Amino acid sequence: MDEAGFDIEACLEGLRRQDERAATDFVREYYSLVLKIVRSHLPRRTAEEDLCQVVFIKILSNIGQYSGKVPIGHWVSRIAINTCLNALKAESVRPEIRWSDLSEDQAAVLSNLASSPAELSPDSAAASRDIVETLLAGLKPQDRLLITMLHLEGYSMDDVRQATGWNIATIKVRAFRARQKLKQFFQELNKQGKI
Amino acid sequence: MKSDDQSLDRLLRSAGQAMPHPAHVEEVPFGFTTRVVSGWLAASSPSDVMGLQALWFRRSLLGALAVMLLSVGWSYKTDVTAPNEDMAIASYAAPADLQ
Repeated sequence: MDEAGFDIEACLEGLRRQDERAATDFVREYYSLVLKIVRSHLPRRTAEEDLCQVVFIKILSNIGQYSGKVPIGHWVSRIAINTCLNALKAESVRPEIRWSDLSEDQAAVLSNLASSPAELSPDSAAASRDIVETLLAGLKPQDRLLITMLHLEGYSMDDVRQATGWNIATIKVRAFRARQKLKQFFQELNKQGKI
Repeated sequence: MKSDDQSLDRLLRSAGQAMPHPAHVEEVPFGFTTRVVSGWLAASSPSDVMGLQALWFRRSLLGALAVMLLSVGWSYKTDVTAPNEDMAIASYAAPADLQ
């Protein structure tokens, strides 16, 4: 039992008996974890609540497969991440990145990056996030996931390993390639701005 | 190029500041749990339907087998008791001729 009084063992036992009360407690306990993952890796045209619902139904339907070898939180994270990856794969359209599609704020951020070596102001965070989202949309789902976790959310390699189940060597190689691809998109965008 | 790497790092750091903070995650929306639980129960019900269908199929098969055995038994019984002597046949045919 944890500090909040949630007894995971009793809850899992209830879920195996298809107890609705146990399912309700489980959803309440892990909603914030699932929502955080879904929000970070949400495909463009998908509502976060719908994807959360799909994740939880998948978890509850497959609870019999949970062996207890990894903490339940990691198992939940893996299912949430895999569901997001599948949703991203289904969204096969990879938008072309064009300078003309950028807003004034976004263009200003890129000009600022080129002209000054200083850190961007906190006011630019939202515009920067939009630019990065546009660049990430061109990457494969796994690459996008890695860049988000490592560079935007500040996860360590070990955190990513626990959340995804991938080994460290795979994560390093994939992260390096993803970063190279992202840099290529970034350079292409900057080239368009200079024309 | 190194300057592109540094610019990309600064862009990523700036974008990281706009990421949703874990503390901002709100409560479970109204009706969400109900939808999940009903979806879960609906997803697990197809196996019950399959089980019911299998049971129905097994019972139908047993019923059909019983009817077949009864038919075989009935035809065997009529074969054994059927008149096969010439006189009996003539007696059976005579009323038919009179009609």
